[in-house]
Amino acid sequence: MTIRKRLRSLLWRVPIEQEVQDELAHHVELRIQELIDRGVDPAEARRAAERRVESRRVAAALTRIGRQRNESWERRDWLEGFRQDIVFALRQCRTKPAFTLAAVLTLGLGIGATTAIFSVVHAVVLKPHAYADPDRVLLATSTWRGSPGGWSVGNFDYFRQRLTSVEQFAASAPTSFNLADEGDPERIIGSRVTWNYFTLFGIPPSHGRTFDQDEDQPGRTHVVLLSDSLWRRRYGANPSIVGARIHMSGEMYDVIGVMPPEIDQIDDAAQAWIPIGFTPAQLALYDEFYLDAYARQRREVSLTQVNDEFARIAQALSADHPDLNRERSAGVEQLSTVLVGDYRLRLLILLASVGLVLLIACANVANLLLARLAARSRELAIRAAIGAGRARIVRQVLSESLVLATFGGIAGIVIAWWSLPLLIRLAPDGVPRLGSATLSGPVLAAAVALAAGSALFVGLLPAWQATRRTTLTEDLGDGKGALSGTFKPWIRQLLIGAQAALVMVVLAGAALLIRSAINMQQQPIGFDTHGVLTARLSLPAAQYGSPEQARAAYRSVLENVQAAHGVRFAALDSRAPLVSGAGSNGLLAEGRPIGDFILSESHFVTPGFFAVVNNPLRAGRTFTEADTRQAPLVMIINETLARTAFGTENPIGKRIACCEGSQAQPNWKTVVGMVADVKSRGPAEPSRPEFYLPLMQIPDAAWTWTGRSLAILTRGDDAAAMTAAIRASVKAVDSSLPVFAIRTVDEGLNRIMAQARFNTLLMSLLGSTGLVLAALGIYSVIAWLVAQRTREIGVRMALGASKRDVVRMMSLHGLKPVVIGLMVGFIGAIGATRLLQNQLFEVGPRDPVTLIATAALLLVVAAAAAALPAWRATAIDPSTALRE
Amino acid sequence: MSRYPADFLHGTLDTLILKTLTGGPMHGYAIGRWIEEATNCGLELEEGSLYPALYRMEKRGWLDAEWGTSELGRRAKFYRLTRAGRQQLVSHTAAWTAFSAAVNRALIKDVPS
Repeated sequence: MTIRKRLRSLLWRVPIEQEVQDELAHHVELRIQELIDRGVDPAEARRAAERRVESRRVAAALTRIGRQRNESWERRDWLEGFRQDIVFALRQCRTKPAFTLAAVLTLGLGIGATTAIFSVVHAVVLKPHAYADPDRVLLATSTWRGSPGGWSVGNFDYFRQRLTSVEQFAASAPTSFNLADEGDPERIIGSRVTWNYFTLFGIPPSHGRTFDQDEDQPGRTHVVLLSDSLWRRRYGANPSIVGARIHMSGEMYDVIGVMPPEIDQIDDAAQAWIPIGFTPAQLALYDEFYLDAYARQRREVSLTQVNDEFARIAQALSADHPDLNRERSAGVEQLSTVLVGDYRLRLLILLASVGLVLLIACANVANLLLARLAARSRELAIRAAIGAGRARIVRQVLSESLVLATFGGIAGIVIAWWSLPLLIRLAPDGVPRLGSATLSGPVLAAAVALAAGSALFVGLLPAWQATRRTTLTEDLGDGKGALSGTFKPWIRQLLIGAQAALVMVVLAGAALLIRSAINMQQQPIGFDTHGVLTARLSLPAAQYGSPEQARAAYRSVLENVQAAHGVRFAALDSRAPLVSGAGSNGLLAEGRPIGDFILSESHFVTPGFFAVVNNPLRAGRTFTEADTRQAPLVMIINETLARTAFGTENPIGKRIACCEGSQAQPNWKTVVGMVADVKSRGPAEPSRPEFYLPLMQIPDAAWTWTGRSLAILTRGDDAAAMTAAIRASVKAVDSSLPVFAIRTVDEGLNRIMAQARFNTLLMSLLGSTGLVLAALGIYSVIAWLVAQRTREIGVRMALGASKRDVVRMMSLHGLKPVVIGLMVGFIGAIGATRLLQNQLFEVGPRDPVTLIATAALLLVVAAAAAALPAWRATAIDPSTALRE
Repeated sequence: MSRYPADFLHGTLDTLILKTLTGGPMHGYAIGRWIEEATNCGLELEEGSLYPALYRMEKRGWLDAEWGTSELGRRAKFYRLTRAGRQQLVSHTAAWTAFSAAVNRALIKDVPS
């Protein structure tokens, strides 16, 4: 489009009706003239000409087309103007490369970090779950005295027969297999499930089929479904494995199918599934709560109705089977809520924090842009004077911020793309669905939205400032658009005040998390973890079905390990330290009413156990080789259990019933020792009641409870040597047995701390980024003010003001808004850190020391950032400054 | 063989107008008269077709219009070819030539009886 036309369309605007009317009138006139020239009577000529034009109909059509024409011209003009604004903005960027780089990097960091965190939030929290109708898939929990737990087979069956508000009710129980086909023997985690387990989730197999109802019967359960990862890793993704037979834990299983990776969302540990096939004896057993239960809610009922029905059936159950179910209730929750758990809150807090940092970054760029526009205020004033409207100037300023935000957005996507894999690798284990975080469509859309939002946020304040009505002389007067002109310093002070407030909130959160992590690190765990190695071993039922076989095998393994080079002490325990799960039993102290059980965690240990973990004995004795099944039954308890069962009385010699016998004829065990509490679930978890039984004295049935699976514990200096010793010792007993989960206790501790460390790391990164950005913002504002007032400073110094006076005067401009911002941020932090409550350890969310220290740190950094340019101002030579 | 869009014949009027304007700027009445004369009154041009065509082409950017003074000394809207209009004329003339040649070939051919 030509400039001429653009000018015309701006300056020459005849209403379209007028244009059409004039043109048609001209046409009619020429026609009349022609007809008259041909000798037609003038009146007749006029009639003929007008009839031909049928002016009303033609005029209407022309007006319509002309109006469209004008609209498309306006659009084209606008786009052309916009294009020129963008070209102008790009040229501005080129002429000020340092400014451009600073702005683009600042925005890029903010947008990139926010995008990366958002992709995690999207993957973990927002993305729909892979199973069908996630709203209707429920986790059923059986609760005893308010603490949630699993289901016994009897209880599960009792509910299964009575539930009407759910379409499906399924159970699973974790198990493990020794996989011993052609490859190396391998320990895999698996699950035993009711036949309708996969139907309930609505996830079809990727190959083959899932279980039939017939296969979920005792004796018919020798069919197996493989996980996608096992199928790929061990069987090379060969579909013909379906129909083959594999050797697991000493028995043959028909492979009937492969489950797709989506099932990992429900149970990412299981690598193989077999039908659970409850026996009639199991169905009659209301003890042993080891099943997980899931339900699919009927379409027409509400969650409340389902919960009501569970509560009703739980009441009926405790009436029918009062011994074990008296204080037991049951309820459901949506599985998606349970799976995402408190990661929802954690991640949303993280997202909010990174969003605050993005705001700080935007405030910085807005500040830079204001400074640049101030330098151009003469140009802006002239534009306004020659008739550029407000909208025109706003568009021009927004074009600049749009260009910066576009480059920032591109940089941000690159930064997110680069940092996301790093983030996933650093993240602790067990964050559900984290692995699926990618820069997918919705995430990229969010990045674009962030860039657009940043453009607005960065540009609006400067644009508003640029269009404030001022007199032309004011701006032209001093040539720099200085303090008296369009650009008032208070806007920039407001921005650094806001930055201070935002940084205060983020830093306070980071500081609280850092203190928690330090507290946790310093928390005594109760035993000497250094040099302790654990490994796990399981004996398959096929070869080691009888307790004698299992006892003999473990005794040989332990003897081999004890004799091995590099092992100072060795022992066996039914549970490895720092591993949750494993067994709990209801204990009854002598003299308490029947049913007043203390839920307590069990350890079945060999006599050397206490030497390995170096756990202080508080009273009595530890176990000896003489504590066998033939000797009196004995027990060692921890301090928490002693306190719970006997209060302040000496527990030694008291009796506790557990693990065998009946309520009518309790099987009493005498307490012979009391050991110190151990934080066996990690430093942040409170100590629980725990008891120890001599491994060689446990009832035969206990070998079945534990699945003949024990942990081998050794103490020594060289972890590698101990690992080799354990492997060799097991191999010497039975070369088909895999040793698994070999790690030092310190590694286990690290893993538990990983969650806290990760949050702390991220929040510290965010906090320090925010701090640096805010410091840069303060620095740039003071530097700008100093530049504006060079002459004034020169005058003051010529009149005898000391350097200190000048530094104080100038830096106060920066510090005043910072202090006000800090106060606002302090109040904001008190409100916001409450959200961190669950992640804090031994420090309150309003911990005054932390909050005040944070504010002090911020103030010191702000003072330094403000004083530096102010101090530089004092180097001004008064005579130079005055001559300027 | 090129394909002819449904409004091919309709576009013929546009082409004639563009051709008319190759001689220089003209107002609407003169364009209509010139086309009538050039086609030996073979086409009598309705004002209801001519002016909408002019406005449409102006909107498409094939024509440019300016107010000037007509031979009678009156204010009139003069149309001018733009670069895009010239390109349109060239391509449509080529298409028309091919089309009419094809139609002619068919019309002079004997029909088998």
